[in-house]
Amino acid sequence: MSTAGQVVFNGLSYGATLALIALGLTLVFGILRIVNFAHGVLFMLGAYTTYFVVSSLHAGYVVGVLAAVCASAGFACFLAVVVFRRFTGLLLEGAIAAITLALLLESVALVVFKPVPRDFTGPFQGVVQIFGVHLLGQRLFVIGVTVAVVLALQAFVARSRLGRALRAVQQDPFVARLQGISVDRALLSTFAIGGALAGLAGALVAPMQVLEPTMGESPLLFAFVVVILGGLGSVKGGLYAAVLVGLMTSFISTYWTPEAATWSTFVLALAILAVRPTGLFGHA
Amino acid sequence: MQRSIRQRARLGVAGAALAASVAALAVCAAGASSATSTLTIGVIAPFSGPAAAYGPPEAASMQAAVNLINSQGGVKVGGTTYTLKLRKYDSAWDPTKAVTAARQAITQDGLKYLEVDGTAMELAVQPIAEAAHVVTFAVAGDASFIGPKHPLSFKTYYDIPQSLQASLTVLKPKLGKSPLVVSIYPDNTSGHNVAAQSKARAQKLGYRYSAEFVGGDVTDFNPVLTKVLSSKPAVIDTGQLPPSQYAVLAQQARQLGYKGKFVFDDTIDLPTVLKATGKSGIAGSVTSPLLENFTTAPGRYWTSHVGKISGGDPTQGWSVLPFDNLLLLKVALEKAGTLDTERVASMLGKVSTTGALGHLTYGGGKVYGLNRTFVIDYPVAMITAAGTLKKVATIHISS
Repeated sequence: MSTAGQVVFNGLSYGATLALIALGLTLVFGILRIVNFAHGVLFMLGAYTTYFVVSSLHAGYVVGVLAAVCASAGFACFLAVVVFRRFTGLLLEGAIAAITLALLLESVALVVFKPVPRDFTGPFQGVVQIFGVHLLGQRLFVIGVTVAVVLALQAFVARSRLGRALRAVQQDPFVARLQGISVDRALLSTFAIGGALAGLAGALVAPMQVLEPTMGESPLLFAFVVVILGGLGSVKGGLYAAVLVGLMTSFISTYWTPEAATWSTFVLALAILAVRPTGLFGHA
Repeated sequence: MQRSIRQRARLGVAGAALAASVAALAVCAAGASSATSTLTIGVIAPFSGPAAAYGPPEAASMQAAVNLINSQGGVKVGGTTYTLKLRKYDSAWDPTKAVTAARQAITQDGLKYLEVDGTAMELAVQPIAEAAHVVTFAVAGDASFIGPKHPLSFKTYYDIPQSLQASLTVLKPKLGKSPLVVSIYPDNTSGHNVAAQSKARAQKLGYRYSAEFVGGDVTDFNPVLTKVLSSKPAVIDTGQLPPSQYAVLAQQARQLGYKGKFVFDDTIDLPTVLKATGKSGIAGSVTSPLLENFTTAPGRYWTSHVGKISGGDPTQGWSVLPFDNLLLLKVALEKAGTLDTERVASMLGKVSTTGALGHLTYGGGKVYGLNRTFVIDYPVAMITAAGTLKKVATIHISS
């Protein structure tokens, strides 16, 4: 096995997952100025939805992924209407509400899903070996889907009518409203997209790990690091930062210890913020 | 005059009735002091979290022992007969939650005998238990919590380093010269202790040894496996990891091209591993100790009854250990003639009985200073190509 090559592949795979979670976070913050600490719950919901569709309904993995995306997007919209609509632009209050909501939802998940580890086997179990690197099918699928989704998201934000509307709301909600753009619709759309991305991430990693109601905590933590490193609100920055964090985590976990990978990621974030407080691609 | 006589007669009858009532009450009261009282045993085990597979069979096994003992008349201590009762507390495989559970058990519920699952949990609970003179029985692979400084602590489990030694003894003839064994253990005090002991035992058999440590919440083992596999191990040892982790670890190791053997030296949840790796993924790997097919009377009782209790699983042979421990505790209580935990603990180190595993006693005095650990031999099983366990040897390990 080529250790270096394997480290790079592992890092890209993990970075892809982080990218999906982080992009949803950065979109919500960039457009609505809301720090959604409940985002990890959407990731967990996506994973569990996929699990139940595949294991209980026997409907196939792709159906499970689509169901996960819809479920997480729908639940995110529900949260937006019931909770977050009141906190648009209110950073501190919104963050407190989000933290409270995250704790509540995790407790509910523990009761509903039970704190018993679950797992299932996805369809991409094959392994391709190239130059000593074992390319696991599911991880290749994660990377491929992430690249496609990010490109689609970039095109959507840059070229679609709704994407332009979201950018207008991001720049100035008041002026956007004067232009006839529905800020409420922007809120719902942003949360739906963010939720969909988190749910998709959960669905993609579900066949590779054990599912527990608290499974969203660790990825959310790293996703925040990615968002901060990449710059709050920057899709491009989030993607580059996710790849950087993924590779760094993989490298340090393999050549040092997994625990060192955790704290060194935070050290890197602090170091970059000390030099560039808005992140790599963020704007003041 | 006549009314006076009638009144006196009525008074006399009333007085006699009152006296009879008082006497009857006195008799009842006296009888109550030799009637059945209740002795509650607590079990702090993971009923949730990454090791949720452990708690239910352990508690069910203890309940089976409680049912057996109660059906035989309970525990007779002094002039009192005690009915046993079991109370469960969830540690979620988290030492902080175990401490919370212990405080509730000891302070609020007044329990004096606690079974604790997991070395990290036992180490966390031990100071509280010792301060309250509570006896703890730890279902834990490490032995760092027993000894003369901890006379109230017992290890109700086999020794994981000894179990690893037994498995490696079976595998050695099939491997080359100086094969490398890599242990992947939890990154906690217990994991590091067990790794240090395992290293000594592996090297004594002629193996090279190294260990890696992972957090309890790790679900992606690719990074650590990438590191491990670069050194080309012949054996990967998964001891002390819960089933949810070692199943994924084995699966991902195979996906990364690992062709060697696995050793599951702290029981194996075979269905979970087979689901993750498939039959070919772990064929030829070994596990010990293989605890099954109990032939003694308590063993047959356990086999036939434990499955009828919620959470009970007769395929989880390791869970017979807390069952046997309660049988031994009964003997110690009756012989000590008191519920005083210090005296019962002292007696536990001296008594023996027949349990599911056969002759049962606490030993290890020469190594640990006090007889506070179960002494067992290690039946080693190989996992067949059909996905079943086949006993291949019984290894006796001298401490």
